[in-house]
Amino acid sequence: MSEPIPGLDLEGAPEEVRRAFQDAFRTFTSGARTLQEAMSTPVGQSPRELIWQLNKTRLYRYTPLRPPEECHATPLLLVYALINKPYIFDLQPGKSLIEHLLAAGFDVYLLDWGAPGPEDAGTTFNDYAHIYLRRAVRKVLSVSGAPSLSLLGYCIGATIAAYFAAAYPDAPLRNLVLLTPPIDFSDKRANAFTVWLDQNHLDVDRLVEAFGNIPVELIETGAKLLKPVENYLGSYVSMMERVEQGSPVEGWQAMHKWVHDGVPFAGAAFRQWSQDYIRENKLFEGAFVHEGRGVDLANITCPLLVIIATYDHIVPNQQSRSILEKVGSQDRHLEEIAAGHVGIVISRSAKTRLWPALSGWLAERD
Amino acid sequence: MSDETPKFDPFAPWKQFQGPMMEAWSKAMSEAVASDDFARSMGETLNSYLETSAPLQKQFESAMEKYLQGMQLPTRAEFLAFSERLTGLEMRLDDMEAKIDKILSLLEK
Repeated sequence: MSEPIPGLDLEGAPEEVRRAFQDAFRTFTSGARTLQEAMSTPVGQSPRELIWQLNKTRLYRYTPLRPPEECHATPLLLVYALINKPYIFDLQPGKSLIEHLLAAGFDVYLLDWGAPGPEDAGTTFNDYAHIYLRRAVRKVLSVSGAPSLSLLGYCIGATIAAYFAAAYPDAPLRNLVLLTPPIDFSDKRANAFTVWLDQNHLDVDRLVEAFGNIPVELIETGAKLLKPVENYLGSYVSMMERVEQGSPVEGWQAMHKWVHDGVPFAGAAFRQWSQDYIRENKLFEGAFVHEGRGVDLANITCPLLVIIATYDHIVPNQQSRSILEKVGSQDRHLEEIAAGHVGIVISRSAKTRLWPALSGWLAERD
Repeated sequence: MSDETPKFDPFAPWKQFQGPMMEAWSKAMSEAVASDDFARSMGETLNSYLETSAPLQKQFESAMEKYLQGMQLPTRAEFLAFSERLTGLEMRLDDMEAKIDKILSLLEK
C-alpha cells in the first residue's frame, strides 16, 4: 500500500520508512479530523424539559428514570458557574452526574445562566442569587410541590449557592452541597488567578469599561494559562496518542468542546467577583449586606456537604475547606476526592467516589 | 493503522523527549505564570492595549451613534435600554405569576 503524502517524496525509500511515514500521516489526518469534529460532538443528552426562563436564564427539569414511588421527595437543583456551560453535569451517556442522580431516584433540576448580552453588563455577581436563583428556587418548589429543596453548586456556582443560603436564611433549603467552592480568598497567593487579579496588577474597572462583558477569549486564555503546558500541548498530545492507539476519542472530543464553549462574564459581575470576593474576601468575612441584613455564612444552618478535589488547580483546597468553620450547620461534612477540578465530576474516580458519595449523602437527608 | 508496528518511527525522538520533559515544563510554566512578574507584565500588556484601543473605540461608537440618529434608526444605547426594560418586565411578570400560583394554591386548600 503506498498512499502519497503531500509534500513528501518517498519514492525509493525503504519499505519500512515508507510505511512508518504513511502511518504517521494517517494518524495526523485522523487527529486533525478528531479535532475538527470535536465541536459537533453531542453533549447534554439526558431528556429534559424547559420549565422556566427569565432573561437568558433557563431552568430545566430532567425526565425521571424511576417511577414516582421510588423517587426521593426532595428535589435537587444544580447550579453551575458563570463562565462555562453546565452540560459538564451531563457530558455524555456514562459520563453524566445527572444520569447517575436520575438513576438514583432524584428529581433533578438544572439552572443554566445562559450567555450575558451587552444589555446584561450591569448584572452584578450577587444579582445572580437575588434576581435569578431566588426565583428559580421558587419555581422548583412550585413545579415539584415539595416544601424544600437540595441545592448543589459547583465552582463559582457553589459561591452563588453559598451566598444565596447566607443571604436568605429563611430559604427552604433542605440540604446544601458545595462542589469545589471558591469561598475563602484570604490566601492571596493561593493560585495564579488570585495573583493576576491583585489590584496592583490588573485594572478591573478599565477592563470592564472597555469590554462591557469580559470576552470568552480572555477568560479561556486565563483558564488555559493556569496550566499552559497541559492545555496548549498535553491535551493534543494525549488526543494523538489515543488516535494512534485506536482508543475511543469521543470523551476527549466532548471535553475539548466544553473547554472551548465558554460564555462571557457579565462586566459588573466580574468587577464584583474580583473586587468584593477575591480582593476583599467579603463573603467569607461576612461583609456583604443585603436589604439591611448582614450576609453571614453562619446563617447557613441546613446540612452541608463540601466536596473538594485533591488536585484542583483552579480552586485550591484552602479556598473551599474553611467555610466549614464559618457555617451554623450542625450537620456538616467534608469529602475529598482524588481528582482535578473538572475530573471530579466526570472521571473514573467521579463514578466510583463522587457520584455514590453525593447521592448517598443526599438520600440519607431526604 | 498498520497491523505491524513499524520498526522505524519518524516521531520516536519527539515521543522520547516529550514524555519525561512534559512534567518538568509543566511545573516550571505553572510556577512562572503564578509569579508577580508575569502578573505585572500581563496587566501592563492588557492596560496598554486598552489605552490604545479605548479612544478609537469611543470615536467609532460616537460616529456610529450620530450616523444612526441621522438615519432615524435606533442606536445601540437605545436597544440596550429597551432590552433592560424588557428584562424588568419579565421579572415583574414572573413575580405576578408566583403570586397568582400562591393565591390559587391557597384557594385550593
